[in-house]
Amino acid sequence: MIRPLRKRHLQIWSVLAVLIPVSIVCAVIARPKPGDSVLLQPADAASLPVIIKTVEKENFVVRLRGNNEIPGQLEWINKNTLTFPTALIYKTYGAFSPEHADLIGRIEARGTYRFALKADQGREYHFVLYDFIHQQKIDSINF
Amino acid sequence: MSTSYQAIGWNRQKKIYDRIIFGFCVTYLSIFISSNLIFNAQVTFETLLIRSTSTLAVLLLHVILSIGPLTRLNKKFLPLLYNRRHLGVTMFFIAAIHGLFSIVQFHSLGSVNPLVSLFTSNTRFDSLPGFPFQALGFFALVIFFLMAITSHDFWLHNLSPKVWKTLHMFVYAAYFLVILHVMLGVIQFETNPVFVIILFVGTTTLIALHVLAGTREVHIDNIKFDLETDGFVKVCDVEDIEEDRAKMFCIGKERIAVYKIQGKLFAVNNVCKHQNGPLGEGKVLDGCITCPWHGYQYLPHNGQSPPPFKERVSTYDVMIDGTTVWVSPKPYPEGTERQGAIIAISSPVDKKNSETLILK
Repeated sequence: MIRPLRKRHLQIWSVLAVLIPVSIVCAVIARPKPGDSVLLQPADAASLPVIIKTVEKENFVVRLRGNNEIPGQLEWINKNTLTFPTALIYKTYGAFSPEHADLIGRIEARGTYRFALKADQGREYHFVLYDFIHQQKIDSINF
Repeated sequence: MSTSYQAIGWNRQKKIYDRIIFGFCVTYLSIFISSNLIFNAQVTFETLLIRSTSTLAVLLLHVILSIGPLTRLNKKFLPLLYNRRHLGVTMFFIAAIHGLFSIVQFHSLGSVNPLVSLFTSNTRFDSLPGFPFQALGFFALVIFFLMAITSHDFWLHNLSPKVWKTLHMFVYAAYFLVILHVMLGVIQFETNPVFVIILFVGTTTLIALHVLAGTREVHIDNIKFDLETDGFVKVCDVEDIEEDRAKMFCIGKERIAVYKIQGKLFAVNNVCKHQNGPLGEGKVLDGCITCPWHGYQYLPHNGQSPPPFKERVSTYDVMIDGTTVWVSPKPYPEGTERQGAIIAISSPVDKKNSETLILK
């Protein structure tokens, strides 16, 4: 290598010695923070110890849980990704209409959801999964 | 050396070198793809190909760029330099596979021409995390392409060493573009810090090697020599030069290589006519000064390549006073015959009995 080229090499690498680390640091700092993957639903409550009843369907499992034989919690486990954006769970008392049902909660993605239930001893439990965007009933679960 | 152009002047060393390159690439791709399939079975073939070739190309680029300074710091790395062109062309082909499949995967499914899409689908030049990093990789690939197609002595001779070397110096710009391509691309989406750490270690190692080797070379170039009145410069002791090896001295504008061969000292210009390789870092093979880079040879007494080759370098006068070596910085025309200086020391350990001979 001739002398001017040796000098040019050193000049180039002296510049790169500044540019490259600065570029790497800037790129790392500029990295967008990963989005919070927190569900809109409040954090799951701890599951109650006694499983009173279970209904299993193709895409989800629904359980009534309690501290004893009285249901105090609805556990909803989505086995697969939902094919609709979000859905609401209603507790119904006869023919379903959103206006005349108790809103239990909302489910979104695959995962486990738990909702508190008012003690309702001696009665049957009927739940409806409702797509509020398209205003249509998706499924119903009866215990 | 060759008197005519061939696509590749194969010899045993090149075949071994290329087999090692091929074996390494196949092993790397196999390990990368199989481990990805084990830990992430959902990944598609196209994605695997894009990822495996990109990481391999970046790894090879770091290896290629580290060979130069490593050979300057330690001669044991010289065998790596011998066929570096093939390593560079291999790296280009792997990078080209990465670029081609990336364009197919990300830009060929729309109604816009994929190359147009590459430059128009993202114009967020004002955003670091959203910067159109794919264009940076494309420009780097263009440089690698130009380097790959001119990596032949035909182009070296026809473009002239100066133009050829200037073109190939763009590899440093390409390297910077590749680093930006990676940092503004995949690193923006990758949360695992291991990738950033690996890249940072690779770049800092490369920078350290180049700055260290470059500083050392500049230091050698800046050594001052005392000029005598009759035009000769005192450079070293006879014993400082190993048999069939040389020492280099930067007197004036360029380095002079002083070789010790069979009881004589010869001085020739240090710059090989092939790719400006350092003749002073080579050794004597078959009675010829042999360039350490690609094996070009020169006869020590006249600086001419042995027939039928026509390369020639300048020669210089050398003289020995006692055990001190003196060199004239005035070059003779390339290929001029000089007798060399006879070393008249009877024994390396008995310097008191040495004679003084001055020969020009």
